[in-house]
Amino acid sequence: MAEAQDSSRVERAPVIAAPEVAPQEAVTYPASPAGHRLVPHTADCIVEAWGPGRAACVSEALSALVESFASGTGSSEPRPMPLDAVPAGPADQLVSLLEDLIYVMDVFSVVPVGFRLVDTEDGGITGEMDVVPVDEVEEVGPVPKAVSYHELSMTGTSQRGWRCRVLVDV
Amino acid sequence: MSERTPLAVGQIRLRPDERGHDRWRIDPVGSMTVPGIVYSSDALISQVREDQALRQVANVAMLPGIVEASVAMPDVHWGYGFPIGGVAATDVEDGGVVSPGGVGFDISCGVRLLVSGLGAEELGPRLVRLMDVLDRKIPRGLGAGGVWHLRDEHQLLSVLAEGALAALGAGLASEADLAHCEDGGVLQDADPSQVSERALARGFGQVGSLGSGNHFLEVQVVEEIYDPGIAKAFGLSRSQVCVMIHCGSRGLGHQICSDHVRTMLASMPRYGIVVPDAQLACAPVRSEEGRSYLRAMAAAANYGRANRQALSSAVRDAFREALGTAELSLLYDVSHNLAKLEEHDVEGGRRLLCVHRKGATRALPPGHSDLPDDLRPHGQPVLVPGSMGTASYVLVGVEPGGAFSSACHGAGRRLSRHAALRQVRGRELRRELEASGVAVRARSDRGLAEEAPLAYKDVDEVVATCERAGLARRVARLRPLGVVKG
Repeated sequence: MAEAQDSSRVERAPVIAAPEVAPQEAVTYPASPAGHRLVPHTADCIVEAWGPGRAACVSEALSALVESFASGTGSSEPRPMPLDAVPAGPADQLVSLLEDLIYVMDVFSVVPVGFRLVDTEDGGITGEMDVVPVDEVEEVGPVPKAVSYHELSMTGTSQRGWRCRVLVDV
Repeated sequence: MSERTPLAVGQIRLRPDERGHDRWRIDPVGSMTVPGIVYSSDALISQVREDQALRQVANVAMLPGIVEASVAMPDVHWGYGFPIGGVAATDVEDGGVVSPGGVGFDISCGVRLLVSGLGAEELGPRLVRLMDVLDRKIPRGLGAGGVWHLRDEHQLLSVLAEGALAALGAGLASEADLAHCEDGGVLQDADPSQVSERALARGFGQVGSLGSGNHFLEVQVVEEIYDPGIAKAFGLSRSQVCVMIHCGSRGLGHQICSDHVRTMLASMPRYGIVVPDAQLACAPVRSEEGRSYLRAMAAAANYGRANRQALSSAVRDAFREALGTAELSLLYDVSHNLAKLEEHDVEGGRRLLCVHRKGATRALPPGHSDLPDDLRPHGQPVLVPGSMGTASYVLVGVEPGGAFSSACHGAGRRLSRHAALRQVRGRELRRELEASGVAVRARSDRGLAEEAPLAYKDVDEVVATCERAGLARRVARLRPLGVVKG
């Protein structure tokens, strides 16, 4: 790498540059059994969600993502589309279903307005999302385009419930 | 297998670098194999501390095969995996890796500047009509829809293989346009067979569309000239009307990145690679996974160039319809999200490097063989879009340059979208912009507020820092007259 030489010696005090935001800060969730929220990120969108089961938790994350950019439920009768994740690690299932949502929006020009997902006995997630044409909702924010693995987490048990955190590129 | 654990908060110490006033250094700690170098001014560095960008600069310094330093541009900010505004080069013949996260999801996101023969005074009140026509003609926002309606998948494959050259065949480009695109508009070694069906489906209906977020199309006026000689060579003069287009490879590029990050996460154990952040997933350049990604990435880059070219054709149509002239010549089209195999001097020897620029612009010096004949004596135009309502810049690459011939890519975000929304009301911002003479055509007031100028660093300070640090030199400053937002 070519270096630009500067003869003037820098005389500044060293700076401790610890980020002011802790990377994996402890997250306190509200007492409600299921819910979601969007967490600030400089350029993109962080979704946090929680629910009593994996499917419930993912449903909340999907709803949060839609709320981040679209408002309204459409004027036409919503059309159901299948939404499934094969048995896999919970974080992989979360990524897979979020990516499915992004895919149908890009390719079919629809926006999901509701999710009905259940856990399957073999560890999968299955169900449907209700979609309406894109021009029936108001676009209120940047559209999600990809799901990041950066500090991705989805953990829980049937006793304690599930929680997830995922950064989505917009 | 070496451990590469993330650095804890407080482990990263940034100190002034003895090599220059606008350089800061993170000495290697933990698994960092090279230092971090941050190009930043005293005014900008406090903003860098406010997010996690520095930790990400340090994480990148742990990538296998990285040489010299993990570098951050003056507009650096918190990304995922790599910081946005990051440059990292790995030694291809010494186990160096390629990381899709080091390119970013929006492969070949970039900027082009079209230069008109009109002066601002000639445009005058006709700006409103021009903006209305652009508002109607430029697809943006959610879903499918582009100005170039492809016939079939075969034509999409030709876009992936040939980039802007495919647009030439479709009557959407001129030979002169291609000459002023990075790589002549076509990144070689693209292999559409490395692109998934899902990526193809996402890309089919979006050629010639802006997307959303920070992407935009602006009608601008040249407000100030810093280097009259180079400005003249670039065809720029004071009061001239230009059009800047900022967008990328849409859903197709994002899908390619997602697909290959997943493949590399699965393959890393085979190569003994451990990364401190999953979004830094990587594979040796000289591996099946590395080659596959680079070929798919090149296909997405070609899509990005064709996308901006198709939009340029729509802009020319809009000028013709609104103003009766379609005279718009392309100054340059350059990506700021890309990995390229380039030769550079490292420790006294010429080495083949995989240079990742994520939110950083290639800035070739005068005389470089990759520049077209008419630009070669002067250096590469570096296009730096500002935030909406503030200035954009044309810079030029310099000798010797720095950061593997790289410069900044924009103003760089300072506030999260949430924070911007807390401080700005979209409707008021729209009124303020209109009152200051900027015509706004945006899809939503909230989207407008999220991209408010106060959400970004001071672009004047960012480019001044680039210049003082010897990365690039200012040629011209452009002010927006009209904004089309996704």
